[in-house]
Amino acid sequence: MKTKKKIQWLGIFILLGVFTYSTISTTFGDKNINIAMAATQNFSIDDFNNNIIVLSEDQDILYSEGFIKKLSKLYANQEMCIINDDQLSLLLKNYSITLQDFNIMNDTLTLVEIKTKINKNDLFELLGLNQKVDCKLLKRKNVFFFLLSPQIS
Amino acid sequence: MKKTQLFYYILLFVITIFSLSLFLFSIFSNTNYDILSHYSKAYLILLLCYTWYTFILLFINDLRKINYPRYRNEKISVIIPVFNENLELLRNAIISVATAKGNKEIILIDDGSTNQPQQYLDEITKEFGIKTHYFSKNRGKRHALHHAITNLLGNTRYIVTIDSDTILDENALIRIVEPLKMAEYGATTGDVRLLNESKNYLTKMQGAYYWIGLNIYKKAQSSLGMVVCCSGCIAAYKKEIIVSIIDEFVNQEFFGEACTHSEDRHLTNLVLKNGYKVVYVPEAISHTEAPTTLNEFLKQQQRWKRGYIRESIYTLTYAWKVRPILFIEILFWNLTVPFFVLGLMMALFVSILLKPSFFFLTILPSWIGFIFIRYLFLFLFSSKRIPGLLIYAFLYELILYWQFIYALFTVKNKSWVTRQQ
Repeated sequence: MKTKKKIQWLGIFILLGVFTYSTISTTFGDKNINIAMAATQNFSIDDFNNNIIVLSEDQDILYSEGFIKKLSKLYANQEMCIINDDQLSLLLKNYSITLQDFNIMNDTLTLVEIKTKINKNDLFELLGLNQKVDCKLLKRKNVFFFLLSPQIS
Repeated sequence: MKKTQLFYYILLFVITIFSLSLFLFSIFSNTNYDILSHYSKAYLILLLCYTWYTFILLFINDLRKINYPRYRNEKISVIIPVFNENLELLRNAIISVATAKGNKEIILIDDGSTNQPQQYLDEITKEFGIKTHYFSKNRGKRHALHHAITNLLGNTRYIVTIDSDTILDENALIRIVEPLKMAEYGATTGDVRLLNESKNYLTKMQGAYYWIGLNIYKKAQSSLGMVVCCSGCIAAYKKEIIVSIIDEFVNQEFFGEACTHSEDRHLTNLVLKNGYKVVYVPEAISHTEAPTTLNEFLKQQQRWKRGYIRESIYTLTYAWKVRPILFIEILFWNLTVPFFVLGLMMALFVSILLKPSFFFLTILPSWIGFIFIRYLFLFLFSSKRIPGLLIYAFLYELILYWQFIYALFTVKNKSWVTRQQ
């Protein structure tokens, strides 16, 4: 095989290798844990007129099934919880995170994405969460919500 | 044999139903996301494995260039089956064969054409000393080949079959028979280029389709001597092999029905089944006309897909004994994947309707990425065909893929559909 051909094949296999690695790591690799935080603006229970299935811990806030479904569809395969402002502050202090607003059923929620890879148990510990207890309200496979006390105005 | 074919045929339905069930379950179940995710991951793994497999075979093909023995004026029989062909095209095809290099005899079998080729071709057949036979009624291409091989062959070593609209390059005949001088080779096929590729978008698309089929897939299969289809446009066989299999060939049945179309693929299957290698010879160049309207193209594709399913099932009945790797390729890629991805294809359209942003931001870029990687050689060596490839890729998702599903249910249909009846 001529040198030019060898270089060509080397390039092709490097390209194929990079593509394979990026595809596999994207598909099978660790996902960042996304945490959806109930936003502090324009959030009203009146928007959700479906069957109400979940109560928050202090029972101030009610979530409808429609809302939960929408949220879980948006973040399929991601683990989620809804946190309060204090917990958000803790996250800000300890991790590199980004905040992104998005609309869901006419409400604005803030997505908190943790950019650094973290151990889930460490995260729970930091936020003072107990996975078993806080997940029992609603649990889907791979998608669960911690319904604490979001600050709703 | 029939029971084995029935088993694989039923297996395809099982895979289809399984795939459909996964899709429906993912839509209606509460645990939907997990299933769809695992399902798409399984397909992704298959796709990556097949891409690597193809590239490794192409690498082997480049690494182990075989120098075939040179042609030494051995006698070649060129058989041209004809049925209602455009007479001008036929005349050009005959002239191209007659003027191609090589010691040859030309045999023309008319399969009961109604456009009276006898009158038109009389002069040219006399001029070039062509052996002719005219069936009084249409019997099918298999019977035309069978008649030529059993009754009209001279003292010849190699048989080349071409379509009645194939134009040969002058070296095509001698190049295509050269591998057959080696004992282990039983059949060969050559490069097919389109005479009308630049006519419209459809023919440009087919130009890319042919280029990929020949220069990626056939070339890859050729490195292991297991090309699964010697194209009807141009194919060559050792005489003694084809004579020994011609009766089995003409009498092929699929679940009690006589087979008519996809005879080129079945002939190749029989050669492989007898343990011979089948290779692609890119230096043997031929030219043909591609369908110019979508309707004609889709009919041709439908016929080919029926043949693809039927002959792939046939390959599975013998491949494990003679070429296990061919068995694995056919079972896990050629036959399983088109039906396994049915649910994903449906999910794709649902996502376009319900979640267009997800489609455009996630699915479309990865789809384009895979097209680029899988057909990298076209991007590198035939970049003028990139637009044709993209058109083909879109048409495949929209129409051509779904023809597989239709073909599964109508695989016994014998209609030739593009032959002018």
